[in-house]
Amino acid sequence: MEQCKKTGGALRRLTLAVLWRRRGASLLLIAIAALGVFASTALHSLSARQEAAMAELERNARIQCVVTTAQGKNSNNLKMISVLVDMLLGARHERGCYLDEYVRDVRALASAPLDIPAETELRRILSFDSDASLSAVEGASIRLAEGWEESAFRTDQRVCLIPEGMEAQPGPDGALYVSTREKMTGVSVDLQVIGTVSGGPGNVIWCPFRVQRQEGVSEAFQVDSCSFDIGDNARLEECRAAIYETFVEPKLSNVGDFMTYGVLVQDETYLATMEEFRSNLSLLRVLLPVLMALCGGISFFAAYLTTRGRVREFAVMRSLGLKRGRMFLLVFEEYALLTAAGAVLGGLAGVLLEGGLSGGALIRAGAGLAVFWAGAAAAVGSMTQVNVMKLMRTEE
Amino acid sequence: MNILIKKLFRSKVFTSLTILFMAAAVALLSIGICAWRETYAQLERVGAQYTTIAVPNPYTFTPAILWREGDKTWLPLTRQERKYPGLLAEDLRGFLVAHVAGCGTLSCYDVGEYRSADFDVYGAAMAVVAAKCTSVQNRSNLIEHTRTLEDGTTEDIKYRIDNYDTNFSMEEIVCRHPAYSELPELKTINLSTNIYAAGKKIPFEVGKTYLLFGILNGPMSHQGPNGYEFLFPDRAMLNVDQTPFSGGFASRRGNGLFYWQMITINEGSENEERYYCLEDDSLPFYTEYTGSWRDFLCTEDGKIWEETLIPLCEINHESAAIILTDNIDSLYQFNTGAASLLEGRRFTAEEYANGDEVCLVSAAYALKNGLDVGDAINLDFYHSNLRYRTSILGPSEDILVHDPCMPEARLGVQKDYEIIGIYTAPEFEFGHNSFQADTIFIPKGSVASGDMELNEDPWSPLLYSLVLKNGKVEEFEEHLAALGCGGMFEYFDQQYSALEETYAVLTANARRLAALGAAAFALAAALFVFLSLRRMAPAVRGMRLMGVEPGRVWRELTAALALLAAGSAALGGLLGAALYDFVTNRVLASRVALRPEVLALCAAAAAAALLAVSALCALPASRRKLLQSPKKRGR
Repeated sequence: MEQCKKTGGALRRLTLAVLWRRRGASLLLIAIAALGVFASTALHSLSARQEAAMAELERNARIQCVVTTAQGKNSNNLKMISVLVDMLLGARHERGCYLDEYVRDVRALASAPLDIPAETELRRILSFDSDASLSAVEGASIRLAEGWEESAFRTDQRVCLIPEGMEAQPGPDGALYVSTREKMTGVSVDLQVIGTVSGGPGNVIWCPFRVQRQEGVSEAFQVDSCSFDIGDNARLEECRAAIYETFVEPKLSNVGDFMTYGVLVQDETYLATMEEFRSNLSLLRVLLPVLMALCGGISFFAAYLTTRGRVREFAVMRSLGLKRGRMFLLVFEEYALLTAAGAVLGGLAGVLLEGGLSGGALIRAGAGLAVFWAGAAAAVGSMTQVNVMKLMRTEE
Repeated sequence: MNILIKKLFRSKVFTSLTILFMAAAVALLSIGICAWRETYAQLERVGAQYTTIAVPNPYTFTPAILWREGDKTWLPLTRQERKYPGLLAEDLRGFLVAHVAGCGTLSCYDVGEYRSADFDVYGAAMAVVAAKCTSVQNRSNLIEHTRTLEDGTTEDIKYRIDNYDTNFSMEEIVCRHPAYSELPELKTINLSTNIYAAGKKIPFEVGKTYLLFGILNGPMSHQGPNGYEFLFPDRAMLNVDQTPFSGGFASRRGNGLFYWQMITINEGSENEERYYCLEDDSLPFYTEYTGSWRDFLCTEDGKIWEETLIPLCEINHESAAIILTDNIDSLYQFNTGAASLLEGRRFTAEEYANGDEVCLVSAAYALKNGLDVGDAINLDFYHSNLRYRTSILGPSEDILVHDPCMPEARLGVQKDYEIIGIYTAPEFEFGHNSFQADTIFIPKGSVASGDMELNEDPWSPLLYSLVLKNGKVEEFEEHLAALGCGGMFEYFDQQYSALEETYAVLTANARRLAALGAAAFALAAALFVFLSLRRMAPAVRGMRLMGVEPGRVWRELTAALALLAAGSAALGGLLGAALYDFVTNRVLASRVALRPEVLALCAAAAAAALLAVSALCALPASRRKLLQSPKKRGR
């Protein structure tokens, strides 16, 4: 046992001495191993980061859908019944319509003439971008009173925006009100002024789309224009299918009736973009094993070339009685130490640059190390199969 | 022969393994570079699908930014000496009108747009009718205001503007847009104008018959319980002197159809009166006839009606607005998706550049005229100004109006255009960025030539926008703010900003991939040089001992290493090509294509780098000190 321990200790010192003696090659092999492990972890994090960025894009991108007639016309004069907008807003669940689960950010505009104030129009909107005349590009500017937000227009509150300069009367609560009466229905309601519009049309009052003009009465009215976004881009096809159960794909050849409306899904740019990004991600994923194989190849050749010059050394060891297996372990231990040192350095570099190592990256790093060891083992195994007698004859 | 090269050929195994080793490293480098290059090409393709535009805000945009320094002429931003960061192009769109033979212009009544008959100005609303005068009422309005003179003093202005109201009963419609035949029968026409005959004479007498020409609006409508209803279904107004509020004719008063001059009576006195008379060369809007109007048309007096006014109506009933553009996506409506392609395709870059005769028409226009993608339409172009008028019948919003096709404005350019796409957009929309449904889009180069005026108007948001580099909006706006022109534009980028993060990640990934390949190559190259020089060291020592000069040793050593480097680079390039090709074409089968020139460049660069490093490292190896013992060198 003592003898074995002494022999083992001597062999270990021999290993370290060889590594030191061949420090040039050793450093290079450490560097190659470090790069290989770093490359494995970095490439893993590259694809992980790319996947995360694409998921973010999928969440943030808006695919706009515009409602038109069945033939693709009249996107601002639809005369569409407001029930369809209710379906998009999720107000028809009791009828088994869950279209709201497939859409988001619905924008709709419905207008009606008013008797009071005279020569004025009332516009029901779901948001400011439901009406093009409220956009900054038309010179309009909206100022909301303190405490009020655009989201008020998605409620049924009796509030409104009025043009700057339109008169409003103070109510008993101190807030400003404007009295309205619809020409068509004769319904009168006082709307609280929550903001003003400058630069827009001077004879329009804007109120929430579902404003409760009559208590307990659910109104149906004609909608001028409607658009919305796809609810979940990751389920684009599912959303399209759900939308086309209620609407149709607009085509000139369609025969339209007053209940059939088309939806134009503007997804070409999004799909083309995602296709490019996905192909890039696929490229990365497919290149990874290729790059790993190349790294393994580099490791094998590096180990083989550095081992090749030590054939005589192995012959001497064999002639001194060292068994093949022991010699293999001895030489492989050198490469194992070098590549392990390289792996640690590569891992540290990965932690420093990537800010940490995920489980997947560690697995990749381990795989990279295993590839290196496999390459080195193959090289060492073949080189340590030295035939001493043949070598001596060659020498002679 | 080079001794060292001989040694390489003798040690086949070492040489082969060294070449394979370096080939793998070169393959890794070239794959990394190719993937990096392809990623950038992909990102360019992605970026090309997004157009970032700046649209003038109608209330904050001022011409100051466009004035050429020193004089009052305007100069587009792209032609100014001052540079604007992020500015890619400027789309100064042209505006014309065209007679489109066989294709009726779109009337608001064609699409059930009753909210404002103002949309039908020239084109659909132009008409000639035969009517009998039933009443005439002369009126005079007193105008009083104060005018400030140049010296700062004020002057009271007081005068009377004379006008008259005339009512007519319909005899017969001579020429009117077919869409109006769907309306209730017209029985009464009202004309209210301040255009008199010479001598301030009202040109109409009760009981007499007249041919009338002008803009004959449809009946006023309002929303009733069953939709839009006509207030006075059998009545229409004839407009002859309504003018847009923007633009105007600097040199003469008029509205593009008629021209008039102001006549002042008792000027400067308390009884000053003003009225208008048609100019001598203006088209007439009335003529008296007796008997049958058809017979009248055959007379000398009826000639202008038969040969000019009625054909003018017919031409304008088949007219369309034409917008000439270099980039359809730079238009606000197309950029934001308010207008989009329903069928067919957009213009290609070549079609813009070559000025090909292709066009986009609207769905409503295509349906009305039975047009489809692939059909050809003939466009006979006319000059036209673009103006705005406030709607008087509905919301007080601006409506785009343009001049009619007038004989003196004909360009003399008439061509067939192929319809390549059909777009959908709001057919009749208010606002400064909207166009009506009879608008046809064509590449600017298909008409522009030389000094031909295309009515480019940077003060009209519909005809002017800037194209910016994606992601450069803030930089551009900051620059404008520094010039005192901040807030003049509104920006739209088709949601490019949503993919900026993904873009940045892809760019960083591509760079890291290339860097990894380069780092692997560098380390492999170091090992290659180290092992090769060590292998050749005994031979080099022998040569030096035999008295070979260091220079020659260096040359032979470099040549041997160069041979290895060239072999490695060539094999590595082929290996990289084979692997990349297999991966992209077989596995991905997509557009991530191999570029042979990039690969060849990588291999050549790798070979050159290896050669340079080898030559450099061979220098000390070839000048080794012969008297130094091997032990001291660490052997």
